[in-house]
Amino acid sequence: MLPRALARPLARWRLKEPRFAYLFEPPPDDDLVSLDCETTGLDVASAEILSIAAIKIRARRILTSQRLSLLIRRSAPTHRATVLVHHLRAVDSAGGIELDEALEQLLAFIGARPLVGYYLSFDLRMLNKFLRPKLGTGLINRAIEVSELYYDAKTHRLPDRHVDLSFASLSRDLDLPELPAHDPFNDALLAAMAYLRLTGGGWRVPDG
Amino acid sequence: MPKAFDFANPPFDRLTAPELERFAACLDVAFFQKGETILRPGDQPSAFYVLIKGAVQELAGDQVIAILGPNDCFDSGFLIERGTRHAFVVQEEVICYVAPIDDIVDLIANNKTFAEFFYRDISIKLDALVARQEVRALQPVTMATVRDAYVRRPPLVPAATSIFAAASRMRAEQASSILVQDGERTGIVTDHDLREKVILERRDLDQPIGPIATYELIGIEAGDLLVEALLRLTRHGLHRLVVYQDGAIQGVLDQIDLLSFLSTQSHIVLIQAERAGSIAELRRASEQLLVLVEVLHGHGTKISYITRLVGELTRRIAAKLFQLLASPALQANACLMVMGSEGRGDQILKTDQDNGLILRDGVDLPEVEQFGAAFTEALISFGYPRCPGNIMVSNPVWAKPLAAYQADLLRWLTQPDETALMNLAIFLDAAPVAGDASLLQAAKAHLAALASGNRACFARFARPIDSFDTPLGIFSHLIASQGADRDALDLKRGGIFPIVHGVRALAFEQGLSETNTVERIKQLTEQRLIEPAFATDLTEAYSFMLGLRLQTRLDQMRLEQPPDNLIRPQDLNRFERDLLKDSLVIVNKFKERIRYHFNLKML
Repeated sequence: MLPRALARPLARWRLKEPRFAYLFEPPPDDDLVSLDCETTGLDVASAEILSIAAIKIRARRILTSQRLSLLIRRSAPTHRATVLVHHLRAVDSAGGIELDEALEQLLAFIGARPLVGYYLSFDLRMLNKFLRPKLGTGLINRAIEVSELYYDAKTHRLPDRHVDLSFASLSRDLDLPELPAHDPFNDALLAAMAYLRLTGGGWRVPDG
Repeated sequence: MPKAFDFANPPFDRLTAPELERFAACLDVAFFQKGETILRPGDQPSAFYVLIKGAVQELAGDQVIAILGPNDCFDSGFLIERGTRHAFVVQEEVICYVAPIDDIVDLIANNKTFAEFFYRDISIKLDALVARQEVRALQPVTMATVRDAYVRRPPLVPAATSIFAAASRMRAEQASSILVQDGERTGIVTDHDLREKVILERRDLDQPIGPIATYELIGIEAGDLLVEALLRLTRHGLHRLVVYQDGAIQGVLDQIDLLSFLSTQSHIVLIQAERAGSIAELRRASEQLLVLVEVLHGHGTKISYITRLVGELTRRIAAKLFQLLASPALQANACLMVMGSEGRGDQILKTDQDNGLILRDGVDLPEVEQFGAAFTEALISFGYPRCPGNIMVSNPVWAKPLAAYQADLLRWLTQPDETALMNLAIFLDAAPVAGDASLLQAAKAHLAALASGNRACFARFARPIDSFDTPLGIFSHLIASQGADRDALDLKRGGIFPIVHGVRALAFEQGLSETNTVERIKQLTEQRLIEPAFATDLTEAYSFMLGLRLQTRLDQMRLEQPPDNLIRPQDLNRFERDLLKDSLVIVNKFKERIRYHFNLKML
């Protein structure tokens, strides 16, 4: 991975469309953006994006009132297993917008702000798969992985302990509210909550 | 939309679906760390908070008055008082929804039931509860007015309207009558008229309705008594009366509505008791009491009416029984009194017997013993359990001449052990039921004279107000540590007793002859011992707790469990828990005032 100092000029140099230059400027404010995508599968090469949710985090507050929630229109028939997981049928997606339009809205929303997520690298790889042809480069936003923060917190006192990084375990440990899963908005909200719990200083690693 | 939002939770359960959607869309989620102060007294908050996780202490000065947990919200006080009164400090890291005040204010402006939740004043909260249950207050039938019954509002059409159009309008509004405006005159057309004057006269449906209307209306004022309405209907052989308010037509009182209103009324039972010619007939009236209470409570009747009714009925039964059992000499020379909760008129169901007899000095009444035994047995057969403290006319200690009572009173005042204080409390609540009431008056006057000016004596009497802790703790709203599973609280000791006793002590000191707790509060307010706003809170808190207790008792009876005074907070809904919390806060405030008034901290 490139050092961030180098990544920014490199990405700008590669950028095809100058109107996206703001993505590679320093962030406009101190906000962070919690991000989650729902996809048709876990294989980046073949999976499609079904929906995207992004929520800004400002200081200790999650700005759910200014969220971005995008449903992507899809033409290919939806795989049955995916429907069962996400409760998004082809007919639901029919009301969505084109992926290209969704990506434009997403880019405008996140700008150069750091991103927060659970298993964020997957979401970023998914997004970049579609952004690269468009921009000539992928996103270089700082990525804050909540499972990493969680791992650090858990191993801070006991470096060699095994840490269950599943979201269920993390969520239980951090005493997050129970929200219906596999809804990108809820997942982004939970990631934001986990982030604030882990960085607030108020949370203590439970014993055991 | 944040889907974690608990829409079923008050006050948000009062929002309509579109309102909820709009509201949820404007929410943010905020984190606060332990020790952070979210609001300070005097703050003009720009946001309203609904807890998702964690705990917040609500502080008045240094005193924690509540711990707020998930689904609790704050601070609603500012909405009417313009400014937060308490401090809100994070006790345990908080995740909460943050709603912009403007959006809450919008909702309040547009949704009345939602708005009501925010009026912190407990009496208004209680009224909101009452309104939600669409309660109709119960009154003795002799006092009920036309507006208490269901007054229908039939449609009003001009006289030129076609008969067909008028009938269509009646169907659309499911009305059995329609008002017809003909210039200055207002007439009425009923279903009956349509049959008689239209169908049977083969009248053209396109003709105007005006000519078939009746313009000489028999009416009644909205403020008139229902009994009068019933008489008027009977006298004129009518099915409905037009209801006027200040000369204008308000609506129509239908005979069916009037009768259904009357049939649910309690007066029937009272009349039965009044007319009973034998103990068996009296027992029949008495048996209906429980049914009546259950029906009334089930229909959301205000608890103060239920207590008044039960009190009234109990007294009438006792009075009637006295008439049936006592010899003429006894009736002329004794005063039958009821004491304790019966004397206060506070009982909500058949309670233990607490009665006594004061005999005129110097009159020989050998039949007292026999009367006492018969009276007590009869009441037991009516379902009034024997008094565990044996405070009954069958006990010679509570059936004796005035002079003997006067000696007792002196002893109770001067040697105030626990029993003496209890007897004093019971006797202070005594109310005459039958016989010569002046005997009880004389005994009470004697007591007042003995105690007059003796501050230490009043203070000793007031002191048991601190016998039981209010089950409202520093670390939780409600302390539920009673009962087999340690998940209940004793409502009688923790909430009801302190109010009853504190009010009784004040009434004793002021020499009030009134025995009913609510009436005593009224009189004490008139004497400026309690300020009016607090008196309202106190009364409502008291009624609310009595209502809770009644509900528990009725549930226990249905499940055939032994009666107790325990309330399990988890059995209550959030709204009730909130009210109970508020009520106990008021109990604490009242205790504080009583301690101050009687200087109890110095004892």
